[in-house]
Amino acid sequence: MCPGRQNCETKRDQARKLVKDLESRGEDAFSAFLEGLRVTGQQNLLELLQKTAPRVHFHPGKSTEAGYPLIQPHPLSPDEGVKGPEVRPRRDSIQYYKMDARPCGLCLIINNVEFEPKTELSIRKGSNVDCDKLEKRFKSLNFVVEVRTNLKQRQIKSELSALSRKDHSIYDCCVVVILSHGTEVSHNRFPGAVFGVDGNHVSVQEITNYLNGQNCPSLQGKPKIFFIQACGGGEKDIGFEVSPDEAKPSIGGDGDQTDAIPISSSSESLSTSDEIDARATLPTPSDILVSYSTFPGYVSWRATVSGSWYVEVLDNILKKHAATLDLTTMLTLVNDEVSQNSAKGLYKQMPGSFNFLRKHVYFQTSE
Amino acid sequence: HRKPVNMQNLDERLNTFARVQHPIDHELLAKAGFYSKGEGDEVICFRCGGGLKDWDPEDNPWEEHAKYYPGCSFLLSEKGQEFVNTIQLQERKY
Repeated sequence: MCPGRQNCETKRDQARKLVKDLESRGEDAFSAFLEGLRVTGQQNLLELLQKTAPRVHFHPGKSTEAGYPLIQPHPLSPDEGVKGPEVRPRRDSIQYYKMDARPCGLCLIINNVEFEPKTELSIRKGSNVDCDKLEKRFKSLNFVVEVRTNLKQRQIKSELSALSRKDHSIYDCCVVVILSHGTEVSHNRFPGAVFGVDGNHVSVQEITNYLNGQNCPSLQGKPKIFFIQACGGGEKDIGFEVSPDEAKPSIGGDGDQTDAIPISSSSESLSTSDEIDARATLPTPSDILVSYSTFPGYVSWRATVSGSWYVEVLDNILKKHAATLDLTTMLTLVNDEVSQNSAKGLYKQMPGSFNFLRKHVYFQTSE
Repeated sequence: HRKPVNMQNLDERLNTFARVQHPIDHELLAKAGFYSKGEGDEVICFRCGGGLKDWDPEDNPWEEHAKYYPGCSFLLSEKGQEFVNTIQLQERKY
């Protein structure tokens, strides 16, 4: 097939062309096409077409194999062909990052729990729960996970620097998780900052810079994903911690509470057109996604026993959907669930994702 | 000498488009924080300094602002985080 096709035509156009092609190639064309489906193991499609076009018989005897050498498909069990939506490309393509290296990549988790007294930043109770969950989760997604606890600003920087100097050639992806107090720092791409246990902060912009294409060539073109659980506001954490029963407010339990559900700005009509968009005049930080527990400048809720809302929901969504959904779709689900959680009364939390990926990310799952 | 222009002001931003042929409605651009430098279709946000060029007539200035400069505090104050998040996580043409 014409390699340029998928760029200039919709699927519907392609389908029309294919049908026209088949119609104009003589009476055996369709049965040859069906035979092609059979040989390449696309049983479900074959059956569907035979059902909808019962008058067309295909003759295995008139096989095209002699004329066109066909690539032998790898054997499929009868069930496998019917899986449908679960089957997805694993190779690097226009739309998907290659994500089949084993292991998939390195994952660094920085878990800041105890801060120096002079900082007056409270102990982040529950953070170890978050840390354990994410360590297990990313191990199950086939990452090599390293955890660092209670790092000062300088140590955060040197860990990230060390990560950027590693050779990632054999990997397909890199993940950084930071659990700490945070503060507001403005930047037009990646605002916000996280605290070292010494009370000095590192901006998120700087954190992402360590792994950009310039500073970490072996991650060029590969997805670099940052998960940041931090209170975005400069205020101290006192009062942000909630007791376990408050942490899981029930939705719709009583009438008063539903009033507090934030009204979504669904009136914003979002363009879904395929037009070429305006371009940034500054070099765009490509292949980077930062997922914040909350928009910088807002508080982030953490339960002292079950951990933070964000990490709990993120972990659950990854567990449930990593095998079938791409990362940005999962983060949309995380947003939805966290904002539902926070719908109770005064508390509101909306995670923020700043997404400069060029393709979809599908994690590896051990099926 | 002219008095220095203050790009925080919507009308001042709009004025910069006076002699510019831009594929996007000038008022929409100015409202989204942009002013023209007078070079092609390039515009700059007065707050975050983020620039955008190569506009398509179908583009929406707020959406493009949110796509490339999601941290802009003017964008966030005018449109809110939910808008920015939706743009960042929407189905993209990869």
